[in-house]
Amino acid sequence: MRVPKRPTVSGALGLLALAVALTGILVYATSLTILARSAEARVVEDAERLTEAVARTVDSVLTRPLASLQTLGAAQELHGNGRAGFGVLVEATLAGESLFRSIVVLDAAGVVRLSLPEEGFFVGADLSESAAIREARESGRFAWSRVYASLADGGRELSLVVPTKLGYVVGNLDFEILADTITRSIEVEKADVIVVDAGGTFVVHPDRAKVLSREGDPDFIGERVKAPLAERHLYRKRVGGASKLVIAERIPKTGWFILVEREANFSAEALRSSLLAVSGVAVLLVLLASSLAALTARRLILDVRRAVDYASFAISADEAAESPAPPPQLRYRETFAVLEAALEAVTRIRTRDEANRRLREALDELKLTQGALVESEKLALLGTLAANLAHELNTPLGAASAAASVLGRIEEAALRRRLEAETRAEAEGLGLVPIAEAALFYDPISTASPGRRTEIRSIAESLARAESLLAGMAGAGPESGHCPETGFERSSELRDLADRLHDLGLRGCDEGLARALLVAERAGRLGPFMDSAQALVQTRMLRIALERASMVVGAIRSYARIDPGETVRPVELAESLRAALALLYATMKRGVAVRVEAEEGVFVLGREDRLAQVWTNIVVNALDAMDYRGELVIRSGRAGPDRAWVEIEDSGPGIPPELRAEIWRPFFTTKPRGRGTGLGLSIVKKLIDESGGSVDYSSEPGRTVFRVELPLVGGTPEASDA
Amino acid sequence: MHEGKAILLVDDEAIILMALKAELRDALGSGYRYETALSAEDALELIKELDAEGFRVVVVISDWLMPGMKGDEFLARVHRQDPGIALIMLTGQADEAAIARVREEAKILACVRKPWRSSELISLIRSAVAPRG
Repeated sequence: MRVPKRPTVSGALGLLALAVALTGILVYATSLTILARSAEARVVEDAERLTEAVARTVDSVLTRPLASLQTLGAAQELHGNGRAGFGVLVEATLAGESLFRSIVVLDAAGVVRLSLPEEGFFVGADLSESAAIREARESGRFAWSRVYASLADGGRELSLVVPTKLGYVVGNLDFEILADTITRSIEVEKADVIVVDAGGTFVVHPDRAKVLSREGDPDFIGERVKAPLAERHLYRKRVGGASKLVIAERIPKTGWFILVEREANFSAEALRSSLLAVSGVAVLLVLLASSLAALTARRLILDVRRAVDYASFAISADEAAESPAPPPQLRYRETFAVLEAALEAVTRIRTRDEANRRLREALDELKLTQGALVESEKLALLGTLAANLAHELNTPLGAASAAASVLGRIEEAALRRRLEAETRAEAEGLGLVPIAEAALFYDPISTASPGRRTEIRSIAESLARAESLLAGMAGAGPESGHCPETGFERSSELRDLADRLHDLGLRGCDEGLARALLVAERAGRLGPFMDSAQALVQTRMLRIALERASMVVGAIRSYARIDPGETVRPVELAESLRAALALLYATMKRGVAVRVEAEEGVFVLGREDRLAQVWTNIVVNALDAMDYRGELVIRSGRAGPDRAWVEIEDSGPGIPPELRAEIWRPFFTTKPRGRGTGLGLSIVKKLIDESGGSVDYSSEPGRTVFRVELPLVGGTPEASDA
Repeated sequence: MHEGKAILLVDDEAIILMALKAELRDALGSGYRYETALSAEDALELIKELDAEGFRVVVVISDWLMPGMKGDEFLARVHRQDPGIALIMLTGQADEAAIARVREEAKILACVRKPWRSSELISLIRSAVAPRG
């Protein structure tokens, strides 16, 4: 089996792709993590710094307050726009002196405000500002734009840190008196959110269950924190499409958290999409790798299947089938070393089966040979029967020929005597001689030829003319230019006479003969003369028929080959061919047109019976090939000074190229069992070889020619007598 | 027009034709025309020619095995053309199927094997022509 030596390229590629993919993912993920972590670390650092700063601030505020606030009572605030807020009235005192009075309001939005007299008007409260604060404010030293506030204990206690330019004012205010009102008017869960700086830092009370947006910012989508915040909490928020990192850091010594917001250097989306991309590529690579692996696996499976199929086919195949197909080509020898061994085992089994098959074939051939032997025995028996038949026929034929010969001589003599009598009787000479001659050389074939009716007619006309001439001489003169018409009956009689004369061999009738005939007829001598002639004609027919019978018997004898006296001598080819054909004419008449173009006087040296067998075998083969329908042509002649040739041509379908070498083999036959032993042509070859000749053929569909060449000999006439 | 009678003999072997003809003429005399044909095709032509000459074929004796049209087909055709003609088939071969066919389709008078016995053949013909007179 031819297999590649290197491991599969596709498999290696697949593994490589897989390794690359995995490595890439790992590297990418790691670097992303590192970068993200460092970004977070920076933000955490920031938060810690801020927290520290705020812690210091808060610390200083809590440890060194400027003034303290005290609750004076509940108050209500009304604004010009109709909005109302509930709050507490507070007074800030510094060193016993009142700094200011104000209403601290927690409005519905969760915003703590300090309302000062000029911002609105109060109802039911008397607010005044100390001169010192007024003075500080007018001079620009006192301003409160920011308030630090936290609401605790379900809204009952408010801690305030009010930065002023003079310092911080801190106070825990009792909102209890407003608690009910407040809870009624605001949502308790809303946390107060204090802006620490414009950069987005918030402070949130730890009790709050969630982190609220700054003033209800709709973009805020931060997390909900269910549990109280831990020391530090990191989360992300999206603001206006941008992603922010937020850290919630607890301020020490307080319950407050500082929220530090920073732009995320490493946006979560970018991270996610790049991870997606990488994952996508990785997935593709994995798919590629797996498909390559699958391909390799498939090939392996196919190999296995092929090998198994071959094995099972080879084991179960019909032993009479042709030689086994070669084992299939497998791709991976290394992998299938075991299968290879298995295939070899199968091949061994197959070879053994092959051997069995050959044994069986040999056995079949032996049986065929046995059959052929039986048939040749039959043939031998047939030969004996034929020989007996020939012998039996020869006896009567011999006797009959002799008798016919004697009869012929007697009749001939009788006819001559009549002729002499006739010539004596008829002074005008040997007028009837032509009839005697015709009878002597009578040939039935030319008498029966299709031209006979024309010949008979012309004889009859000749007779009629002679008759009218004779009548003219007796009666009406020729000068009248008118011949008496022959009556119908006489005309018919003349026609009949012409027919009978033709049957005796007469082909034509001239004036002289016609006259002689009519004269003899009138004298009553014609009848007996014609009877004699007829007797001679019949004896000739007899001899012709007997000769033909003898020829047939001779042909049987030749073919049957039981003639110990048969020796090698010159044999005339043309006669030998005709004899062989003689026994086949009847079969050929069914549809074969036969033509014999044999040069006469060509002699070869051989045994008559052997030659008869050669021609007969070749001709019968030819007839069989044509299925007894078509054209058979037999030619023979000389080829040079020392060679004679015979060609037997048939119009059958020919011998196919693949059988060309086989046809001379003994027992080779394409005929069904029982019809032909396959010995014919092998015998022909043997006989011709023994006679020092050669036999070959050329064949194409529609024309097959067998050519036999034999050494030419000079023939002697007596030796050619069969 | 006087109508003559003819006996037609058909065989591819000339010696059979001439032997038969001589025998029949010898036995039946000059009252008939004796015509011969070497093939069925020629015979069919001949029947037409005779008809044109005013001769009516009364008996046809035909061989079976001939090159070209075989005797059974020939006799069947003759019978189709003129069922009045007496038909006799002479044969040296025993092709059962052909004989059965010709008896069926041509309604032959008899099938005679070669070599025939003269007396048998002559009496057959006499019986064939006699009733018609």
